[in-house]
Amino acid sequence: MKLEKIIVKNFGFYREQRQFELNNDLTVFYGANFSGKSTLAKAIYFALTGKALTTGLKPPALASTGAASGTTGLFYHHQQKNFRIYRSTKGDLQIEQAGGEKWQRCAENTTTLPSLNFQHWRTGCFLHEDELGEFLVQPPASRRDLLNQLLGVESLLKAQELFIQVRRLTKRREKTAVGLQESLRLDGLADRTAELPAAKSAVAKLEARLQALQGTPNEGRPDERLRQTWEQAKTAAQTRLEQSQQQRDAVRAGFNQRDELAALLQQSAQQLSQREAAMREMESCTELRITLTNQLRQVEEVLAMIKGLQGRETCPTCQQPLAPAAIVKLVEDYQIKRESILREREQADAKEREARETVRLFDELARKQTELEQRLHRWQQIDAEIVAAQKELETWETKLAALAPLSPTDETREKLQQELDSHRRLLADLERQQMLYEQRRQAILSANRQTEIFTKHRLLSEWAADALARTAQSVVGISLKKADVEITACLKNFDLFRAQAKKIDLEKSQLMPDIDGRALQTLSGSEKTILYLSMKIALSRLMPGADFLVLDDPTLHLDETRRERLRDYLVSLMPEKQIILFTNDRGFAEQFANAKRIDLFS
Amino acid sequence: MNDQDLVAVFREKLRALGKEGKYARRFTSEDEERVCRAFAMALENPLITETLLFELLTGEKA
Repeated sequence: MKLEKIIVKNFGFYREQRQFELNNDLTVFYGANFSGKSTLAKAIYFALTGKALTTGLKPPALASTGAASGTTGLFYHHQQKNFRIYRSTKGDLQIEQAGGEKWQRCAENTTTLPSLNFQHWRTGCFLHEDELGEFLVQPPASRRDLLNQLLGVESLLKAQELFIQVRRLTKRREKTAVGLQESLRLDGLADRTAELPAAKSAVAKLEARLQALQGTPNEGRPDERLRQTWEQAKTAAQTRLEQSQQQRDAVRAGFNQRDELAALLQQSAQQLSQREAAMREMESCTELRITLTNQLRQVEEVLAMIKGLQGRETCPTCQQPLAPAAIVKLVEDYQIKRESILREREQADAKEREARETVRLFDELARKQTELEQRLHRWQQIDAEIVAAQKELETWETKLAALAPLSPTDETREKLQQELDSHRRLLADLERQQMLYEQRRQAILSANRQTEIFTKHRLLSEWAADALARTAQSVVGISLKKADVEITACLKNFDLFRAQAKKIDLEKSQLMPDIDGRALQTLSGSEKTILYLSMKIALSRLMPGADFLVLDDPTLHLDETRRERLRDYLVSLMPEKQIILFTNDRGFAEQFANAKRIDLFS
Repeated sequence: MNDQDLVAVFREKLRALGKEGKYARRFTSEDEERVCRAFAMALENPLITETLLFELLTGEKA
C-alpha cells in the first residue's frame, strides 16, 4: 500500500482545505513548531482508522477549534487499484475506487485496505514521541497482547486457551472417575461361585428323593381319607384337652385338689352360721344404747328442772315452800345417776361397734364363699370337659390304631421336606450373596473402564494442548525471529550495542528489550528513539500491507552522527518502504537529495 | 500464516510429540485426525464452547 495524497479541512491546525501530494518513496515535510506537521501525521492515521493517534482522544476533538466537523482525505494505491477515503470527525466515511476517469463508491465486499487493525497501523507505521511515552507505561500483559495482535496469532492463542480448558475438564472427569473407582471395594463380599454348585446339587438331590417318595402306598389307600379325617378330629380333641387343662390351671390357682376347695367352703359355711348370733348381739346392743340414751335425756331434763328450783323459796307450780338442802341433795343424786347412765351407754356403744365389725367380717366371708363356690363349679365343669376330651381322644386313637399302620415313608418325607427347606434357604442365601458380589464386581469393572476412557481423554487433551503450545511457540518464534534479527541489525547500525554478542529477544522481553543490560526506561532520549524506530521497522515487516512509515520528528534527541546514520538508514529502507517524514530540522530535510520536500515554513 | 498453515504446523507438532514419552504409541491416526479437526474448528470459531471442543476432540459426548 502506498499513499498518494493527503487532504485536510477543518482538521486541527488546518482550517482551510489543504492537500499534499506524496512521493512514492520519500516525502519530507519540514517546518517550524506549530506549522501543522504532526496534524498531517494524525490526519493520515485518522483517515485509515477513524481513531485519534493520541491515545484517549475522541475523533470530534480532532476538528479545528470552532469547526463543527473536520475532514481528512487520503488517496492511496492498494493491490494495483487506486482508492480515496474521506472521513469526518463526526463519523462519516466514504471510500471510492478509481474506475477510468470517475470515482465509484466501493461495494461492501471490496477489499479497500490491508487487513490491519488500528493497533497494527499505529505500531507498524507511525512513530511519534507521544507513543513512545505511552508504550513505556503499558503493563507487560498489554504489551504481550499487542505483540500477539501484531503477529496475528490471537486466534491460535484463543484456541490454545480453549484446549487448556478442555484439558482441565478431562482432568476433572478423570479425577471423579478415579474417586469412584477407589470407593468401590469388595469389602465383606465373597465369590460364592464354588459353593453354589454343591448347594444346588444338595437341593436337587433332596428334591429328587422327595419326588421319589411321591405315590407311596399310603397315597392311594382306600381308608386314607378316613384316616386323615380321624387325624384331624384327634388333633381337635387334643387341642380342646390342652385348652381345658390350661383353663383348669387358671381356675385352681392356689389349690392342688378340688377337695381342698370344697373343705374350705364347708368350713366357711360353718363360720357363717354364727353370723345370725352376731346380728342379734349387734341388735341388742343397739337397743340398749337407744334405751340408755332415752334414760339419759329424761335424767338430764329432771336435773335441769331441779337446778331451776335452786335459789327459789317456793315452788312455781304449787306455791309450796322449798327446802334448799333437799334440792341440793336431789341435784347430787341425779348427777350421779346421769354419770352412771353415760358409762353404761359408752359400754353399749363399744359392744355395738364390736358386733357390727363381726357382722361385716361375716359378710366379707360370705362374698368370698360365693366366689369360691363359682370357682368350684367352674372347676367341676372343666374337669368334666377334660374327661370328655380325654375320652374323645382315646376314641380317635383307638379308631386310628384300628386302621392299617402307616408306611414309614410318610415320616421320612416329612423329615426330608424339613431338610429340603433348610437347604433351599441356604441356597437362596448363597445366591443373594453371589448376586451382590456380581453387582459390585460389575460396578468395579464399569468404573475401571470409565477411568480408562477418561484417562485416555485426559492424555488426548494433554497431547493436543502440548502440541498447540509448541505450535504457538514455533509460530511466534518464526515470526519474531525476523523481527529480532532486523532490530538487532538496526541497533548495531546505530552503534547502540556495545556488546557484540547481544541479541534482542522481543518475545521474551515482551516488546521491551534491554540494551546492554539496561532496561528501556533507563535509556537516554536518543537511545529510546533509535530503539523505538528499530522496533517500528522490525514489527512493520511482520505485517503485510504496512508498506509506509510516518515519522514525526524522528531526529529528536539525536546528535549529528546519529542523524547522519538515521538518514542513511532511511535511504536504505526506501526501496521497500514509503517514508513520510516530518521534521523541524531544515538541514536534516535537505540531506535527502532525491526526496520530495514540502516546506511548511512558508 | 493462515489457518491451514497453522493446522499443518500443529499436525507436525502432534506427530513429533506422539513419538515421545507418555504419548508414545498411545494414539491412532484417527485420534490425530480428530484432534486436528477440533483444532481447525477452534481456530475458525473462537467462541466454541469447551464442551463442544471436548466432543470434537474425543468423539464422545461430554
